[in-house]
Amino acid sequence: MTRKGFYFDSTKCVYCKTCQVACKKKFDVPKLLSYRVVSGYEVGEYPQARFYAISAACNHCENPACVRSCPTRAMYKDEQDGTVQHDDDVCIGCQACIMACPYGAPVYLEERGIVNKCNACIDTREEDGSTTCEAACGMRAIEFGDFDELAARHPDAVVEIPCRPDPSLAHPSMIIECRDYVYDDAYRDMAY
Amino acid sequence: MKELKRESAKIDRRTFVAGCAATAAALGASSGVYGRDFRLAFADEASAEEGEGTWKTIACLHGCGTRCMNQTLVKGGIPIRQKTDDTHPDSILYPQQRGCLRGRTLVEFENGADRLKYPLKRISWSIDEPHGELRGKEGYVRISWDEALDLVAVQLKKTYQEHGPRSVYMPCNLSNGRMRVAPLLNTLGGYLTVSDTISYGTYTYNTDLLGISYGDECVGNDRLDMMENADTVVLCGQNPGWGSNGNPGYFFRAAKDRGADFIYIGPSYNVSAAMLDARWIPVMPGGDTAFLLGVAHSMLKLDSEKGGIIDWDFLHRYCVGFDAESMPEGASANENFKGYLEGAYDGVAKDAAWASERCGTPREDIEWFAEQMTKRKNVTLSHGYSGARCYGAEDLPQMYMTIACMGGHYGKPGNACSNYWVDRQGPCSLQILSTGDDGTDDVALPDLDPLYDADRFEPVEKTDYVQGLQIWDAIIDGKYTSNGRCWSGNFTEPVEKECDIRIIYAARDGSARSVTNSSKMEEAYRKLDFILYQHFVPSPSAPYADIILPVTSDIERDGIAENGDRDREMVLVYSKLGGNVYEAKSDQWIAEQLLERLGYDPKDVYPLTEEQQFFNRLKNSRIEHADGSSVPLVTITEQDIAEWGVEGEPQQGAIGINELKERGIYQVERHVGDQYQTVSYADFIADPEANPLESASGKFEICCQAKADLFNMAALDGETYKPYPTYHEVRRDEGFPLLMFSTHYPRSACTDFNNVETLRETFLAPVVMSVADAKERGIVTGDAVLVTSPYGKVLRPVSVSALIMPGSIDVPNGSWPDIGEDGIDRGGSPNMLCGGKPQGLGVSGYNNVWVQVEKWTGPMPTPDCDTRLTLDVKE
Repeated sequence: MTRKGFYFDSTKCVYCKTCQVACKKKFDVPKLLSYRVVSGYEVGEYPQARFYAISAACNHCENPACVRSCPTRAMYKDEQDGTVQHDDDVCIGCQACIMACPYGAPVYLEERGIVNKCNACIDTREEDGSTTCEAACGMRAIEFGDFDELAARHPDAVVEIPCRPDPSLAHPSMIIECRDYVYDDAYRDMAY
Repeated sequence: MKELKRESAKIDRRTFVAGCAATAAALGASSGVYGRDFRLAFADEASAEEGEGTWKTIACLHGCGTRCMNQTLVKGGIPIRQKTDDTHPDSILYPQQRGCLRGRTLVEFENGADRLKYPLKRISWSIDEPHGELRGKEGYVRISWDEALDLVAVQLKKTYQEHGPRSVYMPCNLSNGRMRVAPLLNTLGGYLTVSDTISYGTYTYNTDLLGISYGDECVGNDRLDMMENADTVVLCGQNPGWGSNGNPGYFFRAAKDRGADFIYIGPSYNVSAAMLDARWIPVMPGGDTAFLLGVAHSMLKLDSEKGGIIDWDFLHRYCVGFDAESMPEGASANENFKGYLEGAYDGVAKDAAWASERCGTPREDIEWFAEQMTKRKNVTLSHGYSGARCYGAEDLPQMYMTIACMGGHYGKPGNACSNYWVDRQGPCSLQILSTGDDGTDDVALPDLDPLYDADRFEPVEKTDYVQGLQIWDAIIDGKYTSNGRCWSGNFTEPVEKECDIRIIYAARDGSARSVTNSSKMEEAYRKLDFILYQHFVPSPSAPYADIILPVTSDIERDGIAENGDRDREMVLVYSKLGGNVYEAKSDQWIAEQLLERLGYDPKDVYPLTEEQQFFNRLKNSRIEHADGSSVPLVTITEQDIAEWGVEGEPQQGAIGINELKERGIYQVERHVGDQYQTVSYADFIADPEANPLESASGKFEICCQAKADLFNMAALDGETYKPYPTYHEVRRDEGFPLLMFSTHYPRSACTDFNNVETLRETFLAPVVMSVADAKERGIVTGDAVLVTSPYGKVLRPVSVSALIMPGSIDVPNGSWPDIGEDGIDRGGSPNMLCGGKPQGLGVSGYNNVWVQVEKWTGPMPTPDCDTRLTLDVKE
């Protein structure tokens, strides 16, 4: 069974949010909503404080909470593509997936009365050669592909860091390259 | 500015529905497409074509200075989807020219809901009764082009005839729009403008006198040299990850990944420093010169204690003025830099403790940094211009150069000192692809009579410039002090001048935000007879204009990365998007129409069509080689010339002109050790006598008499300057204990993009202040704070951070002023807090402004994504 996912190199990210805006524009996501979100954190005290950012969208989990919670099977695993997909026509807008997802990945589109989320650019990935976020990143910090291949290529990347939800909840297909300070539990959200 | 119409979230929602309905119909409701603002201006297009569509490279020519590739899929004139560079596989030697978040919103920015579509007139303005007091308080009516152009022509003629050329003011900016307007105004009789150090700070003063290049630009080593050879890279006041989005951060990272250690100097630990895992040397805003003096003293001390720090051979062979052994001929005083450091002339040693008191940097950090500057390491010193955009920074360029000289960090692999990628994205030394000129200068133009009576008025003197800091006061009070033009150091002795400014011709102008002392801006605007605003979207200056003329935006024109955007491995060629441009016209068309109405032949002023100018730029573009030779970039055939409808000769180049236009980019693939991997100053280092620098001595001038003479002549406040770099204390404003600086913020590129809703919700532009200062004032993240200076007040949300030095605060650059009836700016424009009194030679010191911060207990300001500037237009 194919499993695809993301690799994110937090050591390269400059918190410019180009991936977030490129994604939002591609999917025409309404005001104040995004399928991909870049979050900034700081740890430590002046003058030793440090900064890092995490760019995350749907993690195309191995055991997706959204799929488990969806009463209409609008959320489903595309076994051929190895990603979690959403069938707009079947969605009834109940938002059970939004409640279930530990990552806040699905968003409710009020105007359409349905939920939607990152589809790993299944519609344009082949034509563009990569997902929009990966192609957009000026720092080359995002990779999308076969999950096992990503893990093999980036042996130091991890699944679990303090600012992210417990991976045992859904087994996210996202691995993150980190510096040591990312493991500091006392992280603070940045409001830049 | 509550009179301005501010869109509410609800209105936005309706706009969204309307925009989407139209586009959904046009596109057969395909998914994954833009809607909303993105194509509001396209919503009344007839229909989209079926089929593949065309990818077009569209222009992004905005204030960041970086130039990247933005491609848009267009069907039937409607933009469907955007991507960046995918014209070849990506590698560090052949990188894709990836754009930033702002590039992703180009269509929303240039063709969104706030698009200027028709000529507009302010409701109660007329030539006889301008009602200037209502500027910014009332709406506009749509008028025809004929009516608008007639009014502008009559007003220009009246003002030139009655008040002469110095009554016409054209703001300073570097945009294409202004360049196109200048020939018009020069023909009519000239105009007054400002001398403003803008982005470049004291690097606008002729640094070439020192032996480095003007602005210290393009004299770093090639990017591959930094990647391969630098042990240590210093970023002084730079944040390429935000300030020069695109490849610069990626290029620095390549050096990091090959083992270079990074050091970051600045008042806050920024995202680029974090990405590079740089050691942070905290220096207070405006403290760089003092810091570097402390470093120089510490280098001397370390060198005498254990040796191996200072490259004495370099100082004595390639420099003048470091010590008594190396004084230049004709030095007026028997003083040298080393003597100053040691306190020989003023009894004060500029040691680490002395510096620490003045720049806030811990003594240990100064001493550590001094050790890193050792001649034993290959050090690349890069700087932005932020430290030079400070009061008292006149000697910073010379001081930074001096540190590089002390360690011998010039002209060798891995050793360089320059700005890197501040306004450019290329290799940093040799210009590989040079964009051609438009051919206008090759056409001899006739002398034409101005509109004013030459017996009654003098032409504007070539040295007559208003200080940027003083422009609003000059309009209000009718006087200013001119000391010539800061650019290229074209200074004069200060002269008290009088003026009677009556009209502003504002082409793509954002002065209401970009010029200092903007708490005086409304009073100045309301005093004038007439303000013309010409742009494709409103800027914060627009609501004060009397006539607004809509121009075609950059993405609606064919074009090429402008002259000056040189120093590149690639050249970008843009195609117009097509589709509806409403009644927008080009800047040149407007100028031609005005010239006709004023009795001139437009061909005498604009001899070339815009198509011919574009063709010329491509024709004249060249691929440069390291040996100084070059070849044409494009191949042009007789058939091409006929098809383009232009004049020219066939030529052989590297790529066909139409192929380049279609491809949108030409890029040179790099290789380690290729001809472009150059080291700046290498010829001078190899043979300084045969290859002297531009300075009087032909060497790096640590004592530069020409600099001292120039600065002492032009100083506006009696400050004196030595031939060597010295510390200059800045004026304090008592009761305002914090130093404000302004980060270049990803939401905008100078004035541009700040009105884009997507970016306003993505980056919230809060004031950033330190944990210690916030605690003292009972402030936490999420509060609003009132930032005050003696000159203005700004009310903004605040973010409390451990990444910023206590005693400093960051009010991000780019936010537009939104002045309420209480005089408080809720838009967050830092220039509201900058005063108008010049210090030194008159630098616009945006980055060391004394302010106070207090917790705001009134109603919270509305979030930025719900406050956008739109003009109230009655169609």
